[in-house]
Amino acid sequence: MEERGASAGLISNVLLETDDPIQEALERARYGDQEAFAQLVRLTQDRIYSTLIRLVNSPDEAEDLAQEVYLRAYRSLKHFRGEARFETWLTRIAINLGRDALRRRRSFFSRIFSLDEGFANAEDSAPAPREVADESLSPERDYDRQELASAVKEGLAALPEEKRTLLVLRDIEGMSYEEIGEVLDLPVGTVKSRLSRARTELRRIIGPQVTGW
Amino acid sequence: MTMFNERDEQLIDAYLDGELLPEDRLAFECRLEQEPELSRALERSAAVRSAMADLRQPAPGALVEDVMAAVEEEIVERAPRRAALWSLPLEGVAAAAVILLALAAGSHFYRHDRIVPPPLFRAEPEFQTALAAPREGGGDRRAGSFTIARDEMKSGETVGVMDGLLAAADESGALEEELLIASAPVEGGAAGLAQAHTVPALPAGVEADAAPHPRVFARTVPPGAPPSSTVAPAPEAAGGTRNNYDLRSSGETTAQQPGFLALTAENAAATGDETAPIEYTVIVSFVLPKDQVENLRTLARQVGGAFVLSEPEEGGDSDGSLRAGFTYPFARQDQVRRKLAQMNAREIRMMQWEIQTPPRRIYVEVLFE
Repeated sequence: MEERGASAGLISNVLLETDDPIQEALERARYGDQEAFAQLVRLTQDRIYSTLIRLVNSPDEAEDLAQEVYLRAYRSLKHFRGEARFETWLTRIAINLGRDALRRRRSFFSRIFSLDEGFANAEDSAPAPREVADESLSPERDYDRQELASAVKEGLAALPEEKRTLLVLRDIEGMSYEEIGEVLDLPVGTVKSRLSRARTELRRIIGPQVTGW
Repeated sequence: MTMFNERDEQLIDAYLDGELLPEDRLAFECRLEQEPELSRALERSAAVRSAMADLRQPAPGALVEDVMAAVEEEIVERAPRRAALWSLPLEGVAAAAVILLALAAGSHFYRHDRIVPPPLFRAEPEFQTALAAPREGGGDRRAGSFTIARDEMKSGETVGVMDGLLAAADESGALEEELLIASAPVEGGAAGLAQAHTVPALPAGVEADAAPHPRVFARTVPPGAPPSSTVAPAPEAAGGTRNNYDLRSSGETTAQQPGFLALTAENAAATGDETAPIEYTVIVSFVLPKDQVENLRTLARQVGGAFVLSEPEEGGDSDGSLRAGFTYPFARQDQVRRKLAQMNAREIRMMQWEIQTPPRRIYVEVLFE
């Protein structure tokens, strides 16, 4: 703490009675400490990027969107009232930006592609089912890990955006039902029931893709 | 796969989530012992959960740096405007020029990713004039820099981001090369395309979904159709057909891809000649003020392209601008570029998907600020 300026030191003494590194960095960032904001990015970037990449299914776009998430957060930092956790707030921004991007992409490209018939946009179509293996031949066979991972990734991308978002937040990012409810502005009961339907649909999509399923 | 009822599926999820009450959990575990199919379903769900958790992906190492650079830029932009150049004393201007030159020279050495390339559009005086024209509210369209942003997707692709139109291709001239390749029909039909643009196997360590997704927007050209370098009729008007062939790179060579096979068959069927030229089309999208939409529509019509406008409720940006775009044959790119320069577009994205060796996609984004 000594190496920081006097004002930062004062802030740290007065406001930073917390063990939460995100909260600590947040308080300093709100007072204009840019290094603290960089620290906030470091502490939260994996969740934001990981959420976005599974939502938009494009590393490049996810990176751009993640950058936009933090820029928006930076602009609004002084107005952030702390009613939600900072990470929850950021995730909500990310989900909204990701949805906007998907909507634009779907709208724009579907119109271009619809100029010609016979083109299926990968965003909107489920992967073609493979031949279903005869389970009776190998009932105890373990699923090939790579095969399952690939099927799960493809199946997730093929789900409707709303269901994909729920699965990403819960099963990839490990968020609690309550936090997901805050991000998506849904009651916890609704989160649970929709999540259940999303999981069921995912299993049905990936079933034909995995040998011995 | 045995299908369970919805209740069983919910039970499995609740069990894996640790959400069952102790007595319900006990009852469920008793069922597991007695019902192998239920037990198998639980294993499957657990396997899916595990595979999902493995999808978590760390952010790219440069994200923090990129974000902070953008934050810095925003801080600078929001700072009070400095006095106009012309209002400074002459010696001040001279001193500033010296400093700027020094900085420019320095940046060339210190920032290897920021280069000053040969202008792509320098040879087009009309275009240059349009760019140099004063803009409402001031600002110089030519100001800006060119960045080779990153080696996208680790597969040899380069993403160039321009915030000034006169800044252009990368040092290797790859952008120009790309345009040259794509600006003329590939002779020899599908076979020629396969020969010219073979997609090699993905480099080791590159995941399939991280591979470039090149698409060729191709149209078949009927025998006897006028060469597109002189006339670019709408494909339908010329008696041809246009189709989108999804030539995703997934490790196999071009000729083995389903989209390519479809293209081959389509080309042969439409022309009766397997060696008929195949022409590429480029897609351009814009975010532009609403009052420019009609201009864009007209331009699309003039170059024989297809106009697309995002519906406001779906694609309208918060500032009231719209995303619109159109496809056009590369053969008309000069005309398109000249017209675009006269539009007050806030952002232009030129996207083209190209099959070539090595796999490479140039993505050009232009911002008018």
